[in-house]
Amino acid sequence: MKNKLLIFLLLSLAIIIGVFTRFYKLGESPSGLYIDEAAQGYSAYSLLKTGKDEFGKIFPIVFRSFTDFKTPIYIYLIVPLIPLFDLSAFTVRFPSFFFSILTLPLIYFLLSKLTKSKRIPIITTLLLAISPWHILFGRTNFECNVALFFYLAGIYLFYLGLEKPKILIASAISFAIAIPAYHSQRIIVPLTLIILFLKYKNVLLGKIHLKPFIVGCILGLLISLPTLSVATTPGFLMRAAGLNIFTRNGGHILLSVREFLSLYLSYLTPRNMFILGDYGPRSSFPDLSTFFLWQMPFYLYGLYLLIKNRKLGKLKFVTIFMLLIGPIPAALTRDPYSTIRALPLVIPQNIIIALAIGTILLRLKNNKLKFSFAVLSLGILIYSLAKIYSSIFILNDFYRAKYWDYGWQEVVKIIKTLDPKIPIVVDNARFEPYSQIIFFLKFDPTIYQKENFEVPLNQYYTNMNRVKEKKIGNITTRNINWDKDLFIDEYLMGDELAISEQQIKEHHLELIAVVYYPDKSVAFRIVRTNYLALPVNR
Amino acid sequence: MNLKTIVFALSILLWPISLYRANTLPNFISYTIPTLFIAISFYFYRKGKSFFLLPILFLPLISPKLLPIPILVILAFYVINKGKKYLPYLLVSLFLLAGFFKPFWGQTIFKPDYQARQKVIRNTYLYPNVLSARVFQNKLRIIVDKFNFNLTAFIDPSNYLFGFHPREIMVDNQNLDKFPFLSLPFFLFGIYFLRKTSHWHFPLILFISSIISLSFLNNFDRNDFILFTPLSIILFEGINQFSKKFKSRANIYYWIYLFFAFFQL
Repeated sequence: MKNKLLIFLLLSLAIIIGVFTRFYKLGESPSGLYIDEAAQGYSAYSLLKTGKDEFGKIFPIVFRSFTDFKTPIYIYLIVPLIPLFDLSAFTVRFPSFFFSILTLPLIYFLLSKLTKSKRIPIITTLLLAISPWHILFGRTNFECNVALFFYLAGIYLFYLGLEKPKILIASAISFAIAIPAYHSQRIIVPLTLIILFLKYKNVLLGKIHLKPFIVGCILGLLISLPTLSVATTPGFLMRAAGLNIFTRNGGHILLSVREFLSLYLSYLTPRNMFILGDYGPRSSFPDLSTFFLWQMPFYLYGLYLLIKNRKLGKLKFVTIFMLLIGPIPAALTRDPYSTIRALPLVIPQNIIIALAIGTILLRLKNNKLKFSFAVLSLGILIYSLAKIYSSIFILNDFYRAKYWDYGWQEVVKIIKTLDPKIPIVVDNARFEPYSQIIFFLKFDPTIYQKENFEVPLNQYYTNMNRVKEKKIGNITTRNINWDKDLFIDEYLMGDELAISEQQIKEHHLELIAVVYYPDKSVAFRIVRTNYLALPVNR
Repeated sequence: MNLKTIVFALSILLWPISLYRANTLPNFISYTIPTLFIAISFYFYRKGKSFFLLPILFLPLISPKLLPIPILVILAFYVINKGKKYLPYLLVSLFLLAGFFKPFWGQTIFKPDYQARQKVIRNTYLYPNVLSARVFQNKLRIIVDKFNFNLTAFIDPSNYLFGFHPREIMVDNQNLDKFPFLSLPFFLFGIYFLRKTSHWHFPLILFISSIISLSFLNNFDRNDFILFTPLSIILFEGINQFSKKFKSRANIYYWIYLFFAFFQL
């Protein structure tokens, strides 16, 4: 009874910490709204208002976007949130937050199913609640966290299904949702299903389980049918084709094998996990790696325990297979240590750390030692939370605002105050700002669909042509053409390189407004042309 | 010569060759000599000679960057074996420490880093109060971060098998290929079964002392060749255990290994 109460309290603590670390300033930090976040948000907005995405496609299976063909689940999850929370950064990040919180009790129940130990499930849940890796993708619009939830739910329901066969159907549904939820799940889920089938084939093909197993397979296949129907199109394969290591190595098998193994190993090594972290400015926080440095000795000891201890049963099996297949999709792509693609790995690596902590805790017989351990743990927890605060809300917002496309909300606010009769040109030489503009303007999707044409709808998944010039009412996104634009009365908008102070002077431009990054460097300038002031001989 | 021996021979060839190719001959020799001294020391250790630590005392004389290694190695043997016979070695190593401290200090992470300090100062202004700023932004952190960065590089298998990551070119590092990348299972077997060998103290103490010592350096590149001997011992044990475990099936892996290692060479 006492133990149950303690576990309930610790689980509640984990969820409270999880909510705090993910919900606090959800729409404000990271500062800005990245291009993909805005694109997903507007696709959802367009679907809500017209039943079509911004290209006019009715309920797409994968979203064309910048011809990177985004996975659909996340976008469809945003749709019902827009009437509730309006179209905002908060709304587009909310599904990540919501499912990352749901993952906390889910991992607790899954591990409780796999092991009799009371410690390992609760320690893992607490570690996941404070995990920098899981927090990052729990407060930003990345599809991987939603996919992780459905993947874990699939495994949990599978183990429940081994006892109550009908639940196998729910497991199949969950796995089927995970596949289109994020690109890497297209590899992870099938591999997981093969491993689980091989391990439990005698049970699954037995009298009691066979019927729900077959029903589950059929239902899973039916749910996957839309995905399968576009699986061979260039659009669906776009990401894999562009990122895989085999094309980059010119099909050289030796180089590809070497690179794959090198990348694979990089996901399991302490140096990346505890020191370097992800190199991407949006997939990491400054001064914070994927795991806390204090977890490193536990990780090494936990690995040893995982290999050595033969009594871990199902927990050992699940941890090892998740650990081994987790890096595969990421290692097939060129980026070193891509934490987005390898997110499922956060689970087995936290289990390994929890295994070490749990084992040490078990060996503490003396009450004084136990008390000291509890005090030390509390100290580490407070330090870790403070470190998270420092990295996410202080350093990241200051140094990484530029990478999160900070400034467009402010730009749109200014645009709204400008004379609507005068055209506006937004420079797109170095970025594609149209998605952020239509997002913050909440531009009418019907008008946008009419004014902008990219490819015929029957070539939505197959034609990779792009039209970079976009028309948004009186706003056009294109490169500034100084030779022509200077002689038209219009507003020009661009970054520091597009519109420098020298250009303003030289072209007699009227400075309307400047948007600054949090570090006070110039993000964007808005000017008005002044052709009457130009020298006559120009 | 059996297949196992060829595999071992090929696996330990890569690092010396890549070091030789990436450096001038005098440089190559200067990085190789400390390794030879350690190999000699191991030979004496295997033969049961009481003076086996003597060659290690010469390391700081060859390169002051290796100054802490003898102290750490001798201290470790002293603690493990509780033998007074190590005391003279300890005294000599301390004497060397006093003599070579200045040139060593100048090449360590303790040397003030102006840029890093400026960054710390700049960051402190972002925090709401001095206390919170000092917790996360302080000068001690500069040293601790550098030490951790170096130390984790030494316990990263990618360092030895892939010259770090192919796309992770470090400015001050030659990113040398050290061992054929398919050696990983041998290393894992070697580490796991090391305690079963009679001489496990030597490679373990040498490896740990060396990585701690090298982690104090601003740039450990090429000096890390000092790890060649302990790692080769671990690799040798790993291949032996691998053969024992998988018997004739190990040959399949050996052939694949030779195929890849040959091309890597």
